[in-house]
Amino acid sequence: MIRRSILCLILVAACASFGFANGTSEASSQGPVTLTVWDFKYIPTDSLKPMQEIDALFQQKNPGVTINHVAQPGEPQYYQIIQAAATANQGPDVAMFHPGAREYGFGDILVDLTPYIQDVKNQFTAASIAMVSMDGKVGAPIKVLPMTMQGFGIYYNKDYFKKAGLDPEQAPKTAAQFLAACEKLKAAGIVPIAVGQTYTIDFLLRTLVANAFGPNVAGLKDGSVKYTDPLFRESVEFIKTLVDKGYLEKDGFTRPYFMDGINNFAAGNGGMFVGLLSDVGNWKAFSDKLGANNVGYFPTINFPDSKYTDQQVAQGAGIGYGVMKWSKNQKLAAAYAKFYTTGEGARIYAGATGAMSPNTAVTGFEANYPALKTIQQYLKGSLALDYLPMFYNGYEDDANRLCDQMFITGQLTTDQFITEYQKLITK
Amino acid sequence: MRHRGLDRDGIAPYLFLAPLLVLLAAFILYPVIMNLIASFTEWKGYGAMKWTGLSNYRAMVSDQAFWTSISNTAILVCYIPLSTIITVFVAALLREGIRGWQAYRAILYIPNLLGPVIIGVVFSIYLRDDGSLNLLIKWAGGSTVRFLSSPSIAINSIGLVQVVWVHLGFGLIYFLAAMNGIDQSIYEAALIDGAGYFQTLWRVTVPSIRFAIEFWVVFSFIEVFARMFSYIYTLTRGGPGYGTFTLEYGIFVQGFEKFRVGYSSAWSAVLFIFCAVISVMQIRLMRRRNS
Repeated sequence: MIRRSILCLILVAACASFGFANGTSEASSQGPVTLTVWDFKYIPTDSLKPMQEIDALFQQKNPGVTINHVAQPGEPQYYQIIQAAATANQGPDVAMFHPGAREYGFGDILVDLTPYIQDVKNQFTAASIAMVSMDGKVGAPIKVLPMTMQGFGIYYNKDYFKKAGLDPEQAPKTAAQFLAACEKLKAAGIVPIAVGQTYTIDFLLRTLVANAFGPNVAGLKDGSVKYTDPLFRESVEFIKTLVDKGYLEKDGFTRPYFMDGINNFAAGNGGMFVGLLSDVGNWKAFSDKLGANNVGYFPTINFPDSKYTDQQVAQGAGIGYGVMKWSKNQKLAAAYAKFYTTGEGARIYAGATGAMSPNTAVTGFEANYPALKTIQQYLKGSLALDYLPMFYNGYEDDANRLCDQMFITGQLTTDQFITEYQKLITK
Repeated sequence: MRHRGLDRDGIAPYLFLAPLLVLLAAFILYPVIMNLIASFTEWKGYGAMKWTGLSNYRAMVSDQAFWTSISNTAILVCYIPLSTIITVFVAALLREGIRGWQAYRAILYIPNLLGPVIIGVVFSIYLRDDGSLNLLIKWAGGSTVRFLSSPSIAINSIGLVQVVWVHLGFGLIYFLAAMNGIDQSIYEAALIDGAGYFQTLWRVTVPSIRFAIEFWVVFSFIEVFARMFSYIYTLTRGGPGYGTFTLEYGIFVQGFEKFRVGYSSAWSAVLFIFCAVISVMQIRLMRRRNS
């Protein structure tokens, strides 16, 4: 009798351990669990609906789990709230982060997610894994799982190109062609480049720097490449020319929101717009408003003396989810982050928002969007790193203020701007 | 030797004071001391502080943004006399009992009922390059005035909006109350002596409300040094460039955008000194008035 009872106990223990090893959720083993998620994308935009759908699906697949998805304000307030949570050592289980300097700055409150993604790690692009690894070092702990990759490029309205006597199928990719296109658009009464606050200058400079330094952009951080390089000067002077000639819609610099510029271009008020690849102001947003066949794209402007051409500036990862060290449900939180960035979750998000997934298994949206097809061709070509996330936490604010002083207020000469920029990267 | 007050009144007065003293210690004294300590450290606002001595202060004095913020604050201070003159003059006008003065007073007080963020956002719509004010200017044949996109104009736009316009309503109520305390016979005497409107204003009204004006100036200083944040945040975010970057705004950027809380505390220590000097002035003023 005693022997039989011991045998039963061993059997029950073995079954229990087998169930755990096969991924029984924390919810079912500990009772109902609420995962709190903080997010700056969970707001009434294109992102909200797919996020609600993904949350519902996750809850369905994990009975007993409730997702408390909390919308938070965007930058810079978002990271102030995270900072406050870190001070209190309590807050959400999962939080959205910008991979790169923001993630690295908060690295000490984030869980190492590397062990949780071993089975799917090779689905992600090498660039995205590098970016979400601490300090950008491959092999270092991965603190955020990437939902999107990000990049910048120039979208144009093909109808307006036709009206201005330009070939809509021929993107103005050289400096001379670009200036000529601006002049023709202006002459036709079309704003050549619609502006979304000073982000337009910021994004344009990022595309030009990518083209100037190509695969060597990372050298700006370690000092092997410098902003004093003539190619950087050429990029700066080119933007100054665009401002001085009135090709950039000057009134757009003081609009309260970047979205105003996006909406303006999407409403047909501008020949070109320096937009994003993911999130907002992307191929999908413009194609859905202006007509899929009416949107053209090119990644940068080629200068005659540049060693590199057609470089697509890209951040391996744009946004992603991290798991907080104070979470009592770290395993479940990691599963949630993984659900958003792989398989069904990733497909739903990318399909609905136009965000480009760094997960190579998430494809198949380009059939109806020629602009996306063009982007994907450039992404298969030459990718260059984005230099701005290399500025340590928050110093991009200083970089943007320097851009204001250079291009909008005219307080800095090109030499002063370059000197100050160089000083900034060493901080 | 025991304190005489304690002998006479017992512990009761100290018990009555205790809640206030505890609150002051928790919400004023402790943060001030912590700020001072943090200013000698490298700290992200959470986690361990790393002692760095005077390095934050050394970095601050060589930081161009710091000196720009001081000069921008100085420009805003220059709006205090203008604000005082306009407010006293309008209050004196209303005191004369011009027709509909109660309605004017109510209208002019409205800005005080609106939150700073509302005012900031509304003015950012009015004043931006393609805003309604510029549309009016262009309609009248003028060209765009860069109210918010030119640094030299932007800081003055903020001065006019916050230091002058926003304070006008409260100032009117304050100065009207002060003017009501002036003995009417002085005005009658001035009238008999043949004093005109401006002479009466300058020789009778202003000297009679001198203490109120002095207090108003001190109050305005504190507003400029420590209460501009919401307006700058909503109107210009300190820009363009560093065009409207003030000491107070810089503290926010360093501490809550760059998470350099130690460095930000060094800036705060400077602001604390400015505010302490103003407070001492205020206390002396009140003592003089009481005496």
